[in-house]
Amino acid sequence: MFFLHPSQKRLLNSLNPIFFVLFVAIVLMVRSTAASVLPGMFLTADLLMPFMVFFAQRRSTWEGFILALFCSHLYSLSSSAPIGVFAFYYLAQFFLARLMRYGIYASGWISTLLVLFTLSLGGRFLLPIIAGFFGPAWPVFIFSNFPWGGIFFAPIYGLVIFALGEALDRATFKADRVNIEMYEAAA
Amino acid sequence: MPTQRKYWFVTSLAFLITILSIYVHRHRQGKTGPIDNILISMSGGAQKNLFYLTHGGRKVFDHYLFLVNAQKRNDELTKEIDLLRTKVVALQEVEAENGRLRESLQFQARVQAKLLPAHVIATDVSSDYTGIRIDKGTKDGVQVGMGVISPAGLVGRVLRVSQNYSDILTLLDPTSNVDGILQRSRARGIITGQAKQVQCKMKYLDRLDDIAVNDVVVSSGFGSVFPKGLLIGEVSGVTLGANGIQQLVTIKTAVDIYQLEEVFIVLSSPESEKTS
Repeated sequence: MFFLHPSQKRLLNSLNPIFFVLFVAIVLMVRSTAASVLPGMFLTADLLMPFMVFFAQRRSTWEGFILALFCSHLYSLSSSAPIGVFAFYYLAQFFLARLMRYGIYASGWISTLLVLFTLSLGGRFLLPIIAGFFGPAWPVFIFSNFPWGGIFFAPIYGLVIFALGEALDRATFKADRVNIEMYEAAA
Repeated sequence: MPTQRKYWFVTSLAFLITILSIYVHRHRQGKTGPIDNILISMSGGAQKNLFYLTHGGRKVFDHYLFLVNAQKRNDELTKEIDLLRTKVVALQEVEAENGRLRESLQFQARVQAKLLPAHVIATDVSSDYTGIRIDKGTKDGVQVGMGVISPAGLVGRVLRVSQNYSDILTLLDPTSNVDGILQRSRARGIITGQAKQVQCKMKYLDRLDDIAVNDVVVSSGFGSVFPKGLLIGEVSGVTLGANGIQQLVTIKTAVDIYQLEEVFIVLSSPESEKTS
């Protein structure tokens, strides 16, 4: 794996976004087909949010945006919500996570957990606002609309997604954009 | 033969015969003497150890070979059991499907509408919305807004259609609205889903309407989306609204959305045919 020809490395690198989309597709497929056997926390957790945070914190703005758009659209298509609700919701999460990056960079597990939890909880406020722009406003701000099990589970699940995402980056020779930017800035 | 040697011979023979006679006599009834006991103990000990050694070796050898065969046989039997178990489960599944299909056929004959059977293949990825996906699409004649029902009762409406698949907005979704009437009192209202609950609510019921718990709610047939009189659920609770003008009615749906496997799409109901 580590003795590949540079052209093979470049090929793997270019396939990285496709692998991420496939990863998201697998998660969505499991969620939509195995709902009867999955625990309630997993069902109510924001499954795509950790991916958005990952794209926001580990990718350049454009690359992250395109990935976020594609994955959130995939999510939107798998939901009975009006198409666009989740696409906009997750793009908003992507930009929020991108902004948060200037304050908290998700490098260690505590900072990652902090970013994930903030967005997991914040998402419950964000979704009703965005859904309001798409016809009948659902979800709404009511207490029962805060699935606490899912809100607390999402950051933990997110840590696993982060670990897998980083492993996928290493396997596909994806350089950490932030480090490059820091290196360029230092130079 | 000299006389002295003749005596020795006769004496020795007599002694031998005497000893043998005594020996035969002593062992005649299976008795053993002290010498016999010593000899038996010595030989017996050796025999015993040798026996254990050889028998043990044989046993180990035999059992090793036997265990190899047993393990092999065990694996074969386990595989056979697994296969049979899978077949039993598959047969049970076929039996259950047969039952459901039989029920569906009776249902199709009962409901005076053109129905298209479909399988549920997925549920909504978001816990905020309550939708299902079915394996029929535009190429089967499915269109947005068509009603979806099951032998147990009303399911929802077609929300989105692609060539091979359709997304259904179920009764439980808060954005879904279905016109229904109470079978007993004929009071009419709109049934809509509630936030993260498996029950619906019936809106716009006047405080003077006669409503009781366990009243059956059926489709009104208005809008020609669903056949008239299709079961929706039962009233599970009635309270007077905060303004005192309307009643708040909760309905337990007849269909368990999360257990659905097969549904029917209402391609055309008698009401729509009448209209056209």
